[in-house]
Amino acid sequence: MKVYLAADCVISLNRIFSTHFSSKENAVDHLPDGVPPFVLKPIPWQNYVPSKENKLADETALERLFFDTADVLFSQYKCESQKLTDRFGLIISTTKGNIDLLDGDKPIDARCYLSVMAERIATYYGFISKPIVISNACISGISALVVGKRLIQSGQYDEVMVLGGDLMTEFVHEGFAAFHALSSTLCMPFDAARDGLTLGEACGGVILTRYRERISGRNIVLEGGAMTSDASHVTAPSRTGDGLYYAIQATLSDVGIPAEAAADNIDYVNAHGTGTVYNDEMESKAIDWAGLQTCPVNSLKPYLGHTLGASGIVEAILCMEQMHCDRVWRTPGFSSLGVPKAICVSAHEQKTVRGNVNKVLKLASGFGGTNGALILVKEGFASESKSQTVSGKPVETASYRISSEQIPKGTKPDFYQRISDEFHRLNRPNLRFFKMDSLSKLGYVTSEYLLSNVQLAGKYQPQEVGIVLANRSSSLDTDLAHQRIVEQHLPEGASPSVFVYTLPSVTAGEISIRHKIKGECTFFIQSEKDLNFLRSYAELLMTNGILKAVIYGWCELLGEEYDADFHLLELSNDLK
Amino acid sequence: MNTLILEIKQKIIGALNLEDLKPEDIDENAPLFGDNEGGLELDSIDALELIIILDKDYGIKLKDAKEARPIFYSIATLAKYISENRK
Repeated sequence: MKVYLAADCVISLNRIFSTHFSSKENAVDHLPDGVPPFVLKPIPWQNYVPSKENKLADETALERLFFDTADVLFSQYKCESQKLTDRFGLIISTTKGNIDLLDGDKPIDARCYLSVMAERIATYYGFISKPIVISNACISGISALVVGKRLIQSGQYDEVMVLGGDLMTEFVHEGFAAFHALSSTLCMPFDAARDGLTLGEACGGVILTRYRERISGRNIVLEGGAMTSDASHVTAPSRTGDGLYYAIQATLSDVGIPAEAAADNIDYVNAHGTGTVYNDEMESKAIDWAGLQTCPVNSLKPYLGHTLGASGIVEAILCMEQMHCDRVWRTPGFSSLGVPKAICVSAHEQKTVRGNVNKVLKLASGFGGTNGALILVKEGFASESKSQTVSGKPVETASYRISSEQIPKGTKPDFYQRISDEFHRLNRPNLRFFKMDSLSKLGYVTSEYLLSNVQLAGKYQPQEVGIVLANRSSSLDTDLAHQRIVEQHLPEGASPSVFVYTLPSVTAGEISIRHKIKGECTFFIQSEKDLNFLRSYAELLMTNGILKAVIYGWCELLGEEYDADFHLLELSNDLK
Repeated sequence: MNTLILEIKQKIIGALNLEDLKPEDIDENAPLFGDNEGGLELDSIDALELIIILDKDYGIKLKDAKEARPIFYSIATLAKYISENRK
């Protein structure tokens, strides 16, 4: 079954774009201050005027972007029925959601909870299915597209609206500044003089559908995708590029391209290309390793900035535009190659080796050591998806729970004491533990007990094991700590070791580092603990031959309320 | 110098939450970074925290982690640099 990208829309900084807009001649470049005009030229933006009417009385800035994007998507989608059924899903990808509402001195605004934000959007449009939220650091957008595609192919949905959005906030800006990761100029991906990334803000959305007749624009297929984990460091990308390389390999395999034939099939690679020294170095190694040295590569970050949880979706849409024009856009700011491997970074707008842009490989990497890749293809060039047959069925082989419910309210030990006691009881000293935030400590210790009698390493390849976690409060516990530091406006800036934990998926990253887990790590946000959903997604990964063992579960912490409920699934045939 | 070394050890333990360690557990001559026997196995985020300590507590501004590398080799090299450059 093919999954089509039926509708698309990007909104960023008072500009709007869709490959479906017909009046390209009216397109304008509405430039934010300080951005040189040449930088934005290839994207036929139109002026964006936010809708005048509030859809919700207490609508937030990000929700307004989501609503306006979704309005455009519904207007493009040729679905006769006005009513959404439970076969129409909604997936929202974001790293920080309504983080601009977080105030260090006040109780947490309910809209800061990502699942609350998602449900406000879902309820307005009358979605019957429960919205799915993915917060997977900077690969969130790719994760959301790949998960959406899988849920259509597995039969859970017929169509899925995928929305990704993140704002540029003081919260995020101060964090990246503390990392010394911000560029002094507009970012210069892959260039020898690059010195960091440029932040952006955007909302991007698509409708994925199995119904070809409901497409009004061009027939582009989301052919395949995969996510992996570096299992090496929470912020620094892998030194060798192995995690991203595995993601590329898994994606090629997902669409039936033999590893050695990558360059014969992929016309263009859209890199993550943040413009930081280490990201671009790592990407060049992975692209080279995958045999794609001759393939044109660009980064879209100089056009829009790094739009974080939106970037995977936003950039996939801009890839669709390049496919339509059969042109690979230039990477503004790039002039001389400054990465260890000689890859073909596009300094000028160009045609591809074979003349057309039929098949595109889109990459992303993020904190927690996550990597994602997906392939977009013009319909005529899409392969028929093959169904994997896996011997054995998923069975639960271990479980472990650490929860505040196990201790009467208001009595000792408090979380801090308890998790330290549990850690010491393990008798496996590791200085890293003490550097973690509370959520990661909770996940780390629970995974230690879960796996105390299991030898994953000897039994499986690192890429065959994955993690599927969820919680309610995302990383709000640490977000508050970071927000309070930011609000003090200290001369030395924010704390990098606090900011790194303002993503829930970093907890999965810590677990993957400890146990050398290099398969997919996906972090969902749910309004309440729904282990059935997590288990069914984990089983989907296993029955599709993507993973052989999965740790799935709930990993929630806010103040003194915490609950880690972890389970291990393995295939029955591997249990001997 | 010994007072400064002790002070730096306490600051590092505090800033990096190495709460299981006491100052005397840290060998001031062992490499701070990398996977070394007896070292603290610090990483790039820790380096950024050390840059903040230098700025905040000793008035020393380092541009980036690259410049800091030889200074951050061990507690002893760090103490030497601080004693020569503090404001």
